[in-house]
Amino acid sequence: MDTRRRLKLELRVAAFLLGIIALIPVVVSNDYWLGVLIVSMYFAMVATGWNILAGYTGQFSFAPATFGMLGAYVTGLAGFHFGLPAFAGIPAAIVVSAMIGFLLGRIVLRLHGPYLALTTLAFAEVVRAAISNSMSITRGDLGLNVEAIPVSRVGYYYFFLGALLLVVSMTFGLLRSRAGLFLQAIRDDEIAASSRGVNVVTWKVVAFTLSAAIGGLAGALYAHFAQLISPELGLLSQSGMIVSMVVIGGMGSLVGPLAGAFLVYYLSELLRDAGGYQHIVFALLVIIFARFFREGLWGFTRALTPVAAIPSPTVAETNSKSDGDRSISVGRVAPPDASTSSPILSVEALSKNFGGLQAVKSASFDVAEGEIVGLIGPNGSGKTTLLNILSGHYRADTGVVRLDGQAVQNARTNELAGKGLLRMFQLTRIFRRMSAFDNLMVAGRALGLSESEAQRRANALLQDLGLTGVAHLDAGRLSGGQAKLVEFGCCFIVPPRVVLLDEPFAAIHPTIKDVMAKFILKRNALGQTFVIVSHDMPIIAELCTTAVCMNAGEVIAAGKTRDVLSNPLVIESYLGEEHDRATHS
Amino acid sequence: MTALLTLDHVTAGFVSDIDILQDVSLEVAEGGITGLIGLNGAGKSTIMRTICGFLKPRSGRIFYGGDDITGIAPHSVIRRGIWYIPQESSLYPQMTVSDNLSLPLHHLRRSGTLSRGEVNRRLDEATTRFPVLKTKWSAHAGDLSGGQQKLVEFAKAFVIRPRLCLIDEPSIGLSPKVAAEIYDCIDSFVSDAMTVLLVDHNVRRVVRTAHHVYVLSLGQITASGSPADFAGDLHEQVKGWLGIEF
Repeated sequence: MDTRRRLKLELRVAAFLLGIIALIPVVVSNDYWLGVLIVSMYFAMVATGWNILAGYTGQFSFAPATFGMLGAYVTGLAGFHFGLPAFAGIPAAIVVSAMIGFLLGRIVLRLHGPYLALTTLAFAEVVRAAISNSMSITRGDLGLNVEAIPVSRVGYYYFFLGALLLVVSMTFGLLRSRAGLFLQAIRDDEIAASSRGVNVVTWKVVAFTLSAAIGGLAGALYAHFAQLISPELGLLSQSGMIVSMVVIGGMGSLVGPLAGAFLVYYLSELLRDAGGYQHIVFALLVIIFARFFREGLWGFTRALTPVAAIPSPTVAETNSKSDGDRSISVGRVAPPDASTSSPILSVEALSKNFGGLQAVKSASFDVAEGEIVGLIGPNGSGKTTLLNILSGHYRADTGVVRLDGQAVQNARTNELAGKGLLRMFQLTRIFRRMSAFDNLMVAGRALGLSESEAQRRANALLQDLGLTGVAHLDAGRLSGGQAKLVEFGCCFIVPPRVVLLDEPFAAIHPTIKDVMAKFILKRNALGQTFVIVSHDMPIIAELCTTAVCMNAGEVIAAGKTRDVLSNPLVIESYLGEEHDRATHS
Repeated sequence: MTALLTLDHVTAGFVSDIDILQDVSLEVAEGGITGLIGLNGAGKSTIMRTICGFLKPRSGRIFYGGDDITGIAPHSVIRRGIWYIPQESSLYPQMTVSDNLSLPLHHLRRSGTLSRGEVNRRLDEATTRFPVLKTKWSAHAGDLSGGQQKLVEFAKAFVIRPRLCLIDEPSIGLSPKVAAEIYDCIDSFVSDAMTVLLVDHNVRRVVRTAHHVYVLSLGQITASGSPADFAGDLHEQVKGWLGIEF
């Protein structure tokens, strides 16, 4: 489902939940149960913050409670040592937590999976131990007294509710903006996200910072409510509880952390007499949900809401667009003469070593604007390595790459995408848990389109590529060929300067191959430039005006396709040389 | 020579509506080297994977030593004496060279095929046959150079002594010296009564080494014959693949 549509539905459910919570004090006047609900709201806020990080961005931090504890101690210490009142202490808590979240984000930027979880876990323990052992400043395990806010319990209740409302609506606003698309794109595939132009570094740090700021706010409020805080707030078991709330409620949904927090904390109060046994109940629930109900409680709700009938992804869909015209040369516009225009992309003496293997050896060639260049060569000749350097995934050891005359060999992938150099991978890379439409939206928004413009172009592209019928399905449910078309389409949402295609026609249905080939010619007629790696010689001969042949990391021939294909050196390279010139250590 | 392995009208593919191999029939003669050439993407590796049982044919049959082995699981393919040396590394990079070689033998010993003495004798022979391994015996396989790793792959086949060895692009990315060493090794395999199915992008080398050659183009066998049949014709063959005549 599209993020937008899903969020709209979630907002309604969240508003309904919060509405019920707002009405509870009218019925319940028992201070104890109001207190339970207030603490639930603390957890709901921290869980919502953690969900931005783990559920939407895929960064599984194990320190959600730590930021709650940090917020509590910032306002607590500010009051204790400097007599700062709550209205100043709470904003300070938000700022300090956000700053520490920012730093943590920078530190763990390149970590994934278990290493990320372990590092954040270690961070959580460092912070907790530091607070616990700094007796003279924090009073350690004795706990710190915090000034109360002079309101009644019901007053506190609405104070917390207001804050929760703020957190939920800010999260909604964030997810509804382009940030929501980018964060989910990073979760699904970081490399693909940077290839579409998303600045992965920035957005990951944004997620860490926001998540920490929300934790800080929640913790500071909690401190003024509880009036006594201790390092126990940051215990691993607290973080575990927050994680279980989100998993049970539904990761990566707006409603999940809310529902999970109220349910789990309420249950923990009911099971208070059971002592340690309550942990068994939560642990079992997490196991059951993680194993059988990945989408948590929210998943049930979603299953109950009627969804428009899902069209089955078929080839026939794309078939209808190819209107039976087999001749792909129709409408070919002569490219500008290569000799008169300066090259759009030029590769000068590029080299790349892997250990002892020289994968690219002083390769040089030019691509003139408006050309379709076929990059060919036998297996292992260095074609994909060269593409990886051009698209910024590898750094060349030596050599220069110029795009529109500007040296770009050290530019990052997302910067290159911003300059109009886009790339499609041999093994399809798309955002599988986002709809085909959202996949295109990520690309459009990352390259600076306004929302309405990105929508308009995404819809037009989906139509051109025959994907309209499956536009709102999660991309992971598309067929291999359709998924390839989605990735292909992402290169064109903003008119590209140069598109690099790595084996775009490998293992796809002939009708989809046809759709792509026609599309390439159509876009080329508008002046767009292509570099295509393919082993499919008939289609290279059909599409490409120019060809470059590599062998053993070197460019051995470049020029008109026909000349290159009949060049004795090229034929020789496919034969394999008698006295192999192959590279080595 | 009789055929050890026969592919009889095999059609196969990874995705439901695309056949990478289309009606492929070929025979691998016992005790010889059968070569397979073709452009990248022609389906050479797919043939290897289909024989190994990683990919089940949609139609057609595969016979090995007279038995029908169509669609059986990879581990039973190996148990029948078929060994695959893939293009990419199949070593465990964080295990030592010694462990990489012993692991498959351990399996044979457990099943009672080999005695402990025989296992040790074969490992000793491997170090004699591949002297470079002696110095790297306790190194992690992942720390070796590309060429050395390839030699360990071949040493693995050497200690296992399969009846049929499938070798995919053995010389890719290797220096001429190591490539020559690898090809010597393939020749010695055959002298040791092993049968080989060989894929290499280096057409000349395949034609020079193999006893019989098949040409694969976009999933179909387009020519076959003895190396002598191809001797004068190699250029034309490659020109055909590159589509020069149309």
